[in-house]
This record gives sequence, C-alpha cells and structure tokens, in this order.
Amino acid sequence: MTSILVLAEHDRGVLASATLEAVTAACSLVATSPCWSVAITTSPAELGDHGATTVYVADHELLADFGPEAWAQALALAIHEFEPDVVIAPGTSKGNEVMAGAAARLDLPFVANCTTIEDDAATMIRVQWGGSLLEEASLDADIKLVSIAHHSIEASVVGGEASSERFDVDLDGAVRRTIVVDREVAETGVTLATAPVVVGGGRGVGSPDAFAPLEALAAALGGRVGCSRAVTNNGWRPHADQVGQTGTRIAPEIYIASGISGAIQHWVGAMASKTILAINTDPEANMVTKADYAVIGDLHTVIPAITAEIERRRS
Amino acid sequence: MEAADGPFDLILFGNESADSGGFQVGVRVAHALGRPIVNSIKGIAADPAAGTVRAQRQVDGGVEVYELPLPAVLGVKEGLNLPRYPTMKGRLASKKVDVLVMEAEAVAGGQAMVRLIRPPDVASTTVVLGHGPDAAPAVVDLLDELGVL
Repeated sequence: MTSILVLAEHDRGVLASATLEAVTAACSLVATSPCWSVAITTSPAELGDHGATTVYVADHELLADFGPEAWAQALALAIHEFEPDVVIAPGTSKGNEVMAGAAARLDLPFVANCTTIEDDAATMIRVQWGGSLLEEASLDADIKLVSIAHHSIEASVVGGEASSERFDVDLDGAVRRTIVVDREVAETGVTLATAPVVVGGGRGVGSPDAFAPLEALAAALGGRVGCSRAVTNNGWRPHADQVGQTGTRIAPEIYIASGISGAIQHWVGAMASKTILAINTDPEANMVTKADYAVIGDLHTVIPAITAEIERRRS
Repeated sequence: MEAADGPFDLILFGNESADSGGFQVGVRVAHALGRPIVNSIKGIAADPAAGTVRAQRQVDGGVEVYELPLPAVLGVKEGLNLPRYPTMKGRLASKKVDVLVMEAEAVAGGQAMVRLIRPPDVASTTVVLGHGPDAAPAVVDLLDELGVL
C-alpha cells in the first residue's frame, strides 16, 4: 500500500488552489490508499473534500507566516515522522522551494513540475522549457519527492472527509531568519493570477499610454491587464504585469491577447487560459493560429469598439 | 573558492533553469553551506553595515519582504533588473578572463531523463470572429456566452 504525503500550501490560512491539484494527483496515483496531507495551520475541510484522508496540522509560532526554511524543516520532520512512500507538493514558487529545502535536509532527490506521475512516482512526465517541451523521467529513491506543475491537472472533488491531527514540530530558532518580515500590498481584489478576464498587450500596443484602452476593457470586465516580455523590456509596464514563463502564469476564463505575436515563452504562461481570443493585424501570428478565436485588425480600433459595445448593451 | 579567498557575503542563483527547471540547486547549495536562502527574488537591497540584505519576492497581489543576515543566498527571477548590454571593451576583456572549471561527480540513482517528448500540437482551429472594429458585436457575444460579461 502506497502512502502519500501532500504539502498543503497556504497564505496565512488561505489555501493555495494548486494544493488541491496536488491532492488530486495524489489520489490518482493510488485510488485506494491513504492520502495524507501535512498542513501548516490551515483548515482541512477542502483537503478532505478533494481526497485527503488525514490532515496533520503543524502548529508553531514560526509557521504562522511563510518562511522557506521553517516550512522546509517542518516538512522534513513530517516526512521523517510518517515515512510516506511519495511526497507531493504543489508546483508553485513556494511549493517547489519548500520541497527543495526538505529534499536538501533529507538528502533525497526531488523532481519538480510533473504533469503525470505513475508507478508510485517511479516514472513521470515533467515539463521542460516552462511547458513547451515534456520530459519522461524516472526516479529512484527510498522516498519520492515530486511537485505537480500548476494548472497541468484539474483539481477534482471526491467528497471525502479528512480527520485532523495535530503534528508537533520542534523547529530550530535559526529558521526565523527567512520568515516574511513585511508586505507591500500592490493591489486589492482581483489579481493577474486569479482574474477571470485578462487583457494582454504586446509590442503592437506601441507605448505606455496606449495601454489605456486595454485598462478600460479590463475594468469593464472586472479583469486585469497583462503584457508580454517585449513590453516590460521596453519599460512600458512593470514586470509584475508580465505573463509568461518567467512572469505570471494565468488561467482566466478568457485571455484577450492583443498585439502579441505569441512567442513560446509567452504562450506557456497563457496556455492554461480556458479560452484565448487573439487580436492582431497579422493572421499568421502564432498567437492567432493557436488561439480559439481571433479578430484580425488593429487593436487600437478593435479594443475601444469592444468596450463601447459592452457599454451599449449594458445601458 | 571560499577556501582561497574567504566567504562570499552574498551568493545569487537564478531561480530555476529555463530548460529543465529543477528549482533546487540554490536551495541545496545554501543548505550545504548552512546559509539562509529565499527564492523568487525580484528586489535586493544589501546593508553591509548592518550585516543584512533585504529581499523582495513578488507574490500574487503584492510583495513579500525578507531580511536575511549576511552571508546569505538568494534565488533571483527575471524582472530583478534589466541587464545592460556589455560594451565592446568589456567583451574583449572577458576573453582574457580565466574561467575556473571544476569537475563534479554525479551521484548514482535519483532522477534520470528517459526521453524528451514534443507536446501534442494545440488544435489550431481558430475561429475568426471578424475583421477590425466591426467584429466587436461578435466578441461581446462570445464574452456573454462565456459568462464574463
């Protein structure tokens, strides 16, 4: 019987959606085996709903806020205590970081960003080049540490219930040195990663000021503006707005990509979008040929026309 | 290198490689050195007098700030700065720099690549909703259909 431990990532109690994908991956690996989850002070209800059978809550003053060393030490202690066969983390920035830290502490290999895992994680498919290439890999280890590429599988509800158990951890006070000390809140409400609508602009937008119509359309739809690397390299928008392999990976209901040629690095950040609409003067642009829908034309006239049409229908 | 010249105050790693994306080299090295590390850093301000480095990590909706005691290790991401193009003089000078090459022994077992797979092509049946601003009503119909209007 295979036992699986899942790292439950959360931000001060709010569960990261990628955690549920990791729990779903764990359940798909072994349909009938116990799927444990180690949570660092969070509610187990959602975890059980997605298939976790036991949630171990590591409650410690040094785990109240995120600190990669504190979390990695707690995870390493959990692995040591429960001796699972497989450990799965969400393939997020923090999930991969915490898993790498636990792997270093336990001197175990760790395979990041898998899309499928098989044979009790002895073989897997993982992403390379941000998802534009896949790798079949094998893993030989006593305890197999893997993470699941975010958005590569859909979290599914199985309607179970998890029991909650306290897991006492004895952390080294030195881990305090990497705990978050301050926060700057750049925006409230909908963010690029969670927006239901993202209006993207590329080189074709032409200038920082020319993003105003994109902002207006995004505002009309309760969405956010994103951009390509060409835009941030030109200094038109901050890097925080960049969609792509090295920027934000988005998964909106619809991504409206305007004036974006669709380089592979941008595509991999946008490909989890449920629907993609490209607006481009070039019908042969990558973004257009890969999109679900396209409007062939100049974004400078098409986008204001869409916003105007939305306003007309609403009034 | 540190045995010869003393410890580095700050070691920077790229957060992950663009190709294989293992997400762990920096973390493992920092752990082996017993030094603190935080990943995904997009802003750095070192204060050598205080013996600390403040590091900013972009998260969804804002920035997290960390303050690490030196010596420290950081995993940095694109967006930290905009690298300058090297000058011709710098490029010529770089040809004369000695590159230290060290042999590393691979540990048996662990992770191994079996093969690379090209992902299946995205079904490219793009529906063209129209040309120019005249396409606006069709776009808004689509938004309505998707329930985002």
